Amino acid sequence: MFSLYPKSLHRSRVRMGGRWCVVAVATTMLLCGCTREKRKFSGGEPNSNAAVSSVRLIDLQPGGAQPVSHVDNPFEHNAYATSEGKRLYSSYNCASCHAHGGGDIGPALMDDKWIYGASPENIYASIMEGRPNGMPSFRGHLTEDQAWKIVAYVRSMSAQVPQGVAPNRSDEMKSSPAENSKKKENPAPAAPPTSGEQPQ
Amino acid sequence: MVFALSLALCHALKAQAQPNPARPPDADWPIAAKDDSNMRYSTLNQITADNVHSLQVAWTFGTGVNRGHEGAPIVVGSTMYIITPYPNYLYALDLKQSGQIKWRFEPKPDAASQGEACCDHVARGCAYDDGKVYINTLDGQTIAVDAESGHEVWRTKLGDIHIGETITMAPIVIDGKVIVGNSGSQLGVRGWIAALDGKTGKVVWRAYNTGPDSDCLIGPDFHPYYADDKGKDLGVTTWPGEQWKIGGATVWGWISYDPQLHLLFHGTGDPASWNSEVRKGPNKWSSGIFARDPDTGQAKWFYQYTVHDLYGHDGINESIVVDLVLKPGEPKQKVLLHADRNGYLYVLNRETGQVISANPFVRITAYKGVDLKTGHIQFNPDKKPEVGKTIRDIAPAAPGGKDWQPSAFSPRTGYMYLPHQTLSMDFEEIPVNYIAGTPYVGADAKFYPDPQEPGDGSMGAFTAWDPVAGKAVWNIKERFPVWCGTVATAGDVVFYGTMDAWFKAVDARSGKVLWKFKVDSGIVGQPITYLGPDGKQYVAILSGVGGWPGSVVSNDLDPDDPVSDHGFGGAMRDLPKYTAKGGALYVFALP
Amino acid sequence: MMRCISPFLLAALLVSGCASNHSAVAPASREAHAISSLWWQFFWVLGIIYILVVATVLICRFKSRRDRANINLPQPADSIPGESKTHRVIAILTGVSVVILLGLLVDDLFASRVLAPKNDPGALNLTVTGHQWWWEIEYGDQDPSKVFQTANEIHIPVGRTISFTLRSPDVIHSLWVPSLHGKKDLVPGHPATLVLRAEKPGIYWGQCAEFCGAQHANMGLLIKAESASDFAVWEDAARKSAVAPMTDQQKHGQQIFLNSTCVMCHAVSGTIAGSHNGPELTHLASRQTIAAGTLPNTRENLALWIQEPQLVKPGARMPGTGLQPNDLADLLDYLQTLK
Repeated sequence: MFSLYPKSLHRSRVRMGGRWCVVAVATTMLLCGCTREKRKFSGGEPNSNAAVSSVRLIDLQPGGAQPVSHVDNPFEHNAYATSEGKRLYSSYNCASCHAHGGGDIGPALMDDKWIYGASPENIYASIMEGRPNGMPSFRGHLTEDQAWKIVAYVRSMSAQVPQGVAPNRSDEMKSSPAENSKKKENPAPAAPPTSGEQPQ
Repeated sequence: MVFALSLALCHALKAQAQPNPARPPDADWPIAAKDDSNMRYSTLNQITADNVHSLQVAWTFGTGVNRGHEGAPIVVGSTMYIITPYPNYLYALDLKQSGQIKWRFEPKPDAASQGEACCDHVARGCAYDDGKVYINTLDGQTIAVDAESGHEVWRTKLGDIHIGETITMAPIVIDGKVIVGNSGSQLGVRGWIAALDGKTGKVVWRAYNTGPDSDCLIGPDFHPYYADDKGKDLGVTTWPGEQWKIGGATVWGWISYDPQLHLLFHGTGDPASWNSEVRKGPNKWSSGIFARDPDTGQAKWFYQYTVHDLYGHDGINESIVVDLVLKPGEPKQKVLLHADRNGYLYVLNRETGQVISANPFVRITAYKGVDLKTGHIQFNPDKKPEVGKTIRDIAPAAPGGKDWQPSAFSPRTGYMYLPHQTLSMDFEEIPVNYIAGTPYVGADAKFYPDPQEPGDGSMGAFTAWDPVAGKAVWNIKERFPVWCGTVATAGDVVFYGTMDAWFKAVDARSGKVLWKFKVDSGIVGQPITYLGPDGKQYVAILSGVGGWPGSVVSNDLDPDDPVSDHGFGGAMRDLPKYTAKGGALYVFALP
Repeated sequence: MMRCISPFLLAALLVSGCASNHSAVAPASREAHAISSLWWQFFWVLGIIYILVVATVLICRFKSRRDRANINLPQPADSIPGESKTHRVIAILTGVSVVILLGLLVDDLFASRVLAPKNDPGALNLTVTGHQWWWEIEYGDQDPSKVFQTANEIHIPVGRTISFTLRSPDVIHSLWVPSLHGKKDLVPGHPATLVLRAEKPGIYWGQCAEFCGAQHANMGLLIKAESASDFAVWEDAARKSAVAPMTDQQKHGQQIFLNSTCVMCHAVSGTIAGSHNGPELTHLASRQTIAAGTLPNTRENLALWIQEPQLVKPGARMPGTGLQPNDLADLLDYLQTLK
């Protein structure tokens, strides 16, 4: 490397400056890649997470407004996990009911309407526990990690995860825009689209 | 023509036990299809092409449900009965009191069944017989309700939602037996048709449409016309391995009956899944039509409209029982008129199952024709789907040239009236996994208006078709698929509704729109006509957009994903601009 | 010391490649024979040429050293003796090279003829689909009810043409069973054909030969060539559905299979499990290996694979199940009935 530098009066200064540049760039790249590309290959125990079972579907509670605790999705900033979530979403037939986000038998997942909550723990609970108007319960059939990966992917469908984490375009026939080019929606609660008379 | 008229009357009178024999013919509308012939033709002629322009609302009724109302009301005496989409309320309305509720029956089906119904939570109608109203619920039950009191008489569970089975079809009653079929091809359900004793609800017979001959009730009386349908246990040997157990071929559409031949005719749904590579072989007995003995269920003949279906083209559309002179100078032939999903309008000999003619009533790129010698449909190899390959411009699209929405036949004009759609699609098969209770589809599809016929961006049409000449007579284009039923009357008026909420009356001969009325929400239901207690003719229709194409509105789908709603998402993107959800009954009469 | 050892190392490496059921120079099929013969012909011809060339270079090097020691006055340029002789030698050697190359080309053409897919109406048609990181095989038949699937282990009859259709739904893989044929890529969207005819019974190992992701190295498979009668017996058994569990433990094991993560990915014909995300397991207990040739098929290995697949193949799609020991034992009892 040093033999490439021209012999000049500033050679030593350039040498030192160049060295620090490389170190800075390499460090930045390594740090950026850390969370986004980390791959954890050990599987999770299925459904033993006590924290998530106390998720509130609604923040209305007696005694006035109270702070609601949130559970973080361990994979929300991990691109590999989100892309795994996309693979699982198709393999486990989520796409058969929810299409590629637009909905079908089940509601749309890429819009801003969330019947049972848009936070990661609410989506996790919807998947694991099922919901009364037809969402099956996948508890026991998915490991925790698999469910969290699917949660990360579902949230990426309305751009709730960082753009660098959301998956790119699919290999299949183009349907909805790639998740990393969707516009970010503002999740809002919605009533289930059932008959007006049916209790929710 | 007069002979055909009286024959139609014969059918109507023989098949149904009228509660009040003094009621004039066609005063009632006791089953969703009106009568066993499925002609949906009424001899009532107070409303004519000349006076229909002054038709006005007599009364309305809100059902309280806002999903797709695909049902037909039924009328017996001075009571109208309506079944709503899930939660399948059954209302009895007093026609003497402008539709005042007599009683309401709540079957309370399992809420989880909403997650197992492919195409909205619809119920296509109910049936009256012997003082009882028979309904099907989304979670797979058939229930008999006392017509006077509204109390449950019996309830029989026929389907299991845990494997994706639901029931959406309108039952029919033949000789005191309630005939019911299941839904769920899109979830890998094995299709069947069953007969229940009308008095007790016990299952008299159940015939499957895949599997060994013993399950399909195929025995020594089975004489199919074509060679490919002859053989032992074809319901097993035309599938790989045990694929027939999740083979589809459900019975979610229409059943017609010929009392003279004593045969019922029913279609079978498409084979599961849309990924055709997992089910190599002809896939008997899917996408076809069975003729069965209604007493025993034993099959008499079968014809397969679409062998080894590739595009979701079910065979469940109605088969109209009618006798027609097909060639001048020849005697009338006993035929069935059937506009199939695959885009061909079939005239079948209903004694043997032979195809007399099959003419396209929409643009077709998926097939090259029907070989009348072998009965085989001829596929277009350029449109053969493959996993991982996108095939473009497949016409007709998966909903077909016409879907379940029933056509009518007028013996006066000799025309069939087809409410249908003009769609093409891009289609890609994807790897599919059977996980019981979840859909078993295996393909992404995108529908769009047929780019050539008509090629103007419209997706629906209401067509008058001459089945003898084998061609269209006139045609009205609509922006959205015409996803509702129709009724033809002796006043030479036909009625239909549109998904953008117009209910229209059309001259049966010329196709001129004579009257229209804007209702609260898009129409996907079936119009009926009857005589009220005051002797006046009424026309009734349920509004409330939904069904497969209407789910963009009824299920709040996001059309930015064009493969949502099994392919309809992108095509129906504009529907919310024309209608919101709703659910109401409209009854019209002359002033 | 190193200079002494390295030829031995080299020899050891060469010899290890000659294992009898996993080597391109131990052919067991018509096509592999053609490839192997071609290889040896090239090896000997080119080897001899190589030795001659190296020897010539060395001789010239030593000769020129000697000549430099006996240095003479330079000759006038226009009368260098031996120049025309050199030209003649070059011309002859060029001619010989061309002839040898043409000969090798002809050799190759003959070998290619043997390798070319043939249209044999009596061929057995198999469709091999490469997944990350396992092999799905479908045995075709004119009669659709005889079509069946298996995974990671292929049985073929000796002496019959086998036509493989190679497909991939995800990334590029490559099928390589060295004793039976050369490599052929499985390219998504472009099905390929590979034809071979095994000539002697045996078990032949193969693997994926195109990098396809984290567990490319552990994507092996096994082809067992057997007599026509043995194959017919195996085929009949493979078409049958799984036997129903008999004992309480086996029944409980089946319940666990259907109630946990297993049913989401694996099919067992005769039960409601019908997913094809992972290898189908109807006759798992009859297979020699599990995890695509990674582990021998024993109860202990199966237990390890089910509980901690990421220890065996980190990155594989299979999740750990976290079953309790009793449940795992019952599940293993059930899986071992799937013969």
